[in-house]
Amino acid sequence: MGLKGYAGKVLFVNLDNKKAGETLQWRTEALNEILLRKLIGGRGYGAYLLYHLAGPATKPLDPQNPFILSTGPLTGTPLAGSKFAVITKSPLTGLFLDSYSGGDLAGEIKYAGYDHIVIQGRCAQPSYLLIEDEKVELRDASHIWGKTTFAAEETLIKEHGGETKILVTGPAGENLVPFACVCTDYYHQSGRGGAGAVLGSKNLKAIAVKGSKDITVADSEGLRKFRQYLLEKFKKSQFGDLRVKYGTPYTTTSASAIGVLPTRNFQQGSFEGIEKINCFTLKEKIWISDHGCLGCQAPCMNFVKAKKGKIKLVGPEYETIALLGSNVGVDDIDRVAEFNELCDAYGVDTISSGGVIAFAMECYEKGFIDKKMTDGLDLRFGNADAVAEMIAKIARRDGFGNVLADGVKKAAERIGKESPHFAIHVKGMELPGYEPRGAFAMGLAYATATRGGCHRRAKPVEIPQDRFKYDIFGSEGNAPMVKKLQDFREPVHCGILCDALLRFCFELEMKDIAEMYRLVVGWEDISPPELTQLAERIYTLTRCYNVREGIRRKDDTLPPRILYDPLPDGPGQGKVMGDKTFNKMLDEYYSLRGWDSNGIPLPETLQRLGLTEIVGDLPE
Amino acid sequence: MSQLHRRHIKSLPEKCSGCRLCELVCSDRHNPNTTNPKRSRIRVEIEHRENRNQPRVCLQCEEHPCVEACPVEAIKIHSELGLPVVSLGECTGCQACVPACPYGVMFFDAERSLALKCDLCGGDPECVKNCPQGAIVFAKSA
Amino acid sequence: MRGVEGKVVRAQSMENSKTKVQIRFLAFFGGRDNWGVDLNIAPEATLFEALGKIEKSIYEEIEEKLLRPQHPRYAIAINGKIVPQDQIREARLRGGEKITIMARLVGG
Repeated sequence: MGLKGYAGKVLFVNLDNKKAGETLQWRTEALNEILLRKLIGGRGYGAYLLYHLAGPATKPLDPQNPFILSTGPLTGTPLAGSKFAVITKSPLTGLFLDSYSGGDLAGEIKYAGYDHIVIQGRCAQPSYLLIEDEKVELRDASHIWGKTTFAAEETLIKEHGGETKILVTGPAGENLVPFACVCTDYYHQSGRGGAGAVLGSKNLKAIAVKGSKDITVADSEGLRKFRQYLLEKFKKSQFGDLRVKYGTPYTTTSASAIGVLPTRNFQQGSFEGIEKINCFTLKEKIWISDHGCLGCQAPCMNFVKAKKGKIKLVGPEYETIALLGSNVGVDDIDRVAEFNELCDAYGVDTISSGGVIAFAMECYEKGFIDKKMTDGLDLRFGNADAVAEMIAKIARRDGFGNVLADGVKKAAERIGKESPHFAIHVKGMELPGYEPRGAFAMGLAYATATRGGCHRRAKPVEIPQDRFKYDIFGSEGNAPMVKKLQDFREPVHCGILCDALLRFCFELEMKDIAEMYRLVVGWEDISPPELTQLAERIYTLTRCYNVREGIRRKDDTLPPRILYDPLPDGPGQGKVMGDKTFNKMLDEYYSLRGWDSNGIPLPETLQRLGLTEIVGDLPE
Repeated sequence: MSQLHRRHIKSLPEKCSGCRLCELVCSDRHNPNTTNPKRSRIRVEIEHRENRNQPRVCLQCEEHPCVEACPVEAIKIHSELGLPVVSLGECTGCQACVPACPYGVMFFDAERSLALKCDLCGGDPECVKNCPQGAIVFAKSA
Repeated sequence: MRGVEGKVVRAQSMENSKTKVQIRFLAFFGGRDNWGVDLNIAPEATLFEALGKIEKSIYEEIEEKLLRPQHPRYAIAINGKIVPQDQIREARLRGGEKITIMARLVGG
């Protein structure tokens, strides 16, 4: 094919109700080269695949919903931290889902000869998929069905050897919990949106990949120099050293100080127990060593112990400390790490778990539910034992766990009373660790993120005012800032490389991203304006997907607590966002994106971005 | 005595983060513009449960049983480098050298049927230059 | 005690009394991070005055990174709550406060 960076092929697997040992239907297709410059790969090309494979008639747990493993031309090359994405229709939101993870699997997919692996259908019995270059087989998984993610992966590594890279779903995914995650390389997860449940619905316990093929790059000498440049950027960076030393937990202290740390179901923005769960306590009490991703120069993860040293895990990240620490009122880092390990073992998203448990705790303290409903659990904020038990019950859909297992939106519908007021989600996805009442732009970011209440497309909290001029507690300047932050991530999520590494450790800009594509793929003339247009194209393409699913302006909103109740203390004390300010930000955002006032991309926008043929007709 | 006599790549596993950049750049160094960890002469052994990573590469040992094991004399002491080097043109892919290595650091490229052994990149090891953690160093043997 | 007599007594006790605050650096200052120092300050001292009691080279680093820039990348907090940039000079201390200096960075 002569393509540089890319493997050149998409693998399509049809499980077609097959059993282990039966011949599997699969085929490969060459990448659509015309689309490569327009959508590059990763999220962009994956969105194009999903758009055509799963429309409104396909439900997330239907066999037709494809489970897509996506990479990009930069994945697996000697450049920087590599990632892969799971792209599918989310069981949690019913919308577009792209969920990223590091780990060796990212490279191995490319080395096996594929840029994307698309899995559709459902197996007749618990199985796992084995992919070794051109060998694609279904194997029996009855001996690992029901096992934790760790145990299942350990078994498969023993059977196939360490060169085979594994992705597994846990018991929660088998039980179709809509925020079940997938785990890989033991300690990496694609956490949000329910990728694990999609695999579970296919009776697919795992995907095992081993590859032996070459990836060709355009200019390896140039890449060598660029890697040097990255190390110099790291040395000059503001906080790269802090990130490597402490990882994401570093900023829990500043988040609480600034008043954006979700506390007790987003009732407050700072936590009085923060010192007992921050990065310094983590390092002092439970830290063992560092852990990193494939190709990454700045390993930021923490390998720690929990349960007084009885178990080991990688984590907890900032989000877990926020959602399963301050948000549930627990001020013990050892317990937070224990919750993390439970979530990883069962295979559930720590953010959604913390969000739904905190919601239940507030319901309990307000008397909307009682011990009879909670199977005897004293679900008060701060009760760490109750949190641990609740995680297990959710994963097993056991008793009250089954009420919470479908997410906070559905739980609020079931419990009723005033509880929807404080069901903290956007489009069904529980909010992560940033209180928007402490930074109004974050509210806009949540409302406009493709996959729902998500912080990984734009995170406009503590952005220095000399980078963007904006109003922390108002609407001014927030829309252009959110758009720009989202746009930067698009070409990185096509790469696919780690966006956090590129922003916080190397402080890269669009021109650096362009240079990466020049060096790997050989696109001599690729430029920042082209990448910005690519970003707009992909953002609007994924919006089209959601519009086709029925998303409109009314869904681009925030929980009532966030919109209408002021924070009780901190810098945001007394400041109410309200409809007027929120709508002002949203209107400006729609206008910048070229969408109408109902959030539907305008025909001229589709034309300008070259999307008309891909997208076809959009509903009104 | 050659410049590379009694030198080897030494690994410091406690510093290794498991990023495997060494594998990626090694394959590229010996096969220009190509990334493929299966063509690397250094491999990182990853132990998940205890989070221990060990870069493993030829120790350039004095005994060099790989030389003796090769039935076609494709592994010979290089006249300038002073250490055993696999002549890829002569290697038949019989893999006799692989189990002969007591340290398990003779690797095999199954696609191309070739034995893979570290040759210190002629004196400027690529992996050492590119390790972000300093977990592999260009050392002098004891 | 009241009146002039009372005033004199109070002034004397103010001269003799000092209070302590703890300053902790949660980012790299003076070449290391996560270290701290206790400071003696006069009662009702401002935060600015307290910072002035720190060893000169560290104070200069604080000035360069935090006090002087219009949009600093660092923040200062008292008892875990951020002090807005325009209030740093005037913020008053009573004694016993935990002052922390950290990076202005949030999130994973």
